[in-house]
Amino acid sequence: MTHRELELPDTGVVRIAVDPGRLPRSTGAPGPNRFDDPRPNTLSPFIVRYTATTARGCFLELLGWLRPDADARTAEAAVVDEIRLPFLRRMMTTT
Amino acid sequence: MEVQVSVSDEVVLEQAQKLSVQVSSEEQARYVVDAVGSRLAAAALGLRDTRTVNSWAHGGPIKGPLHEHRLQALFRVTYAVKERYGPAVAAAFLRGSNPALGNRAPMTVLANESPAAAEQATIAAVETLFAS
Repeated sequence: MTHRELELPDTGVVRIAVDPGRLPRSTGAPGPNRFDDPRPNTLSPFIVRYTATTARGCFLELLGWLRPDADARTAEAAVVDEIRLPFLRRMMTTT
Repeated sequence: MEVQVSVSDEVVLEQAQKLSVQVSSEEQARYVVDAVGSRLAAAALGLRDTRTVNSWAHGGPIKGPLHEHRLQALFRVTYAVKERYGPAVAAAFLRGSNPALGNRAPMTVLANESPAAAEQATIAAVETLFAS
């Protein structure tokens, strides 16, 4: 099925981008979690432009990489901050 | 009249790469600490406390080539995202569960992988972010 045959919803679709009409750049390999063209040197490449039926769907996809990672949070919290050390030392000597 | 020039993604990525090899480790450490804070910078560098990275930012010696390379990789990633989207997004990017990295956070990859592999993977994640 080509894009010409694809039936879009009557209400239209939403895409959030700096230039929503522009096709994404082809990197020659499928991006993570994408249905890009897996043929790097083909003469008939295709490029996938993702859309959603709602703006919420777009934002969930677009901002997925901003979800805080639990392991990263734990690692950051485990770092000893030298600014707080004098305060902690005072607390330990007074208790 | 003020003219706003939009710097393209390619230029930012190229600048980040060039500066990561041209700028001194001291300046790189200072840049990442100023951009994302010493705690996040230390965690991304696999350090246990902020004292070490703060010392590097003030010209203290970096023991071992791995630490130096890891700092270079962190600088490159932080610089690219900060210049494109600002410091808050750079910090969120480093902490975020990233689909391009198997849902690991860039800071976790930088801290735990070999610096060469981590640099390659995290820069690829930055490119994916810019392309989206």
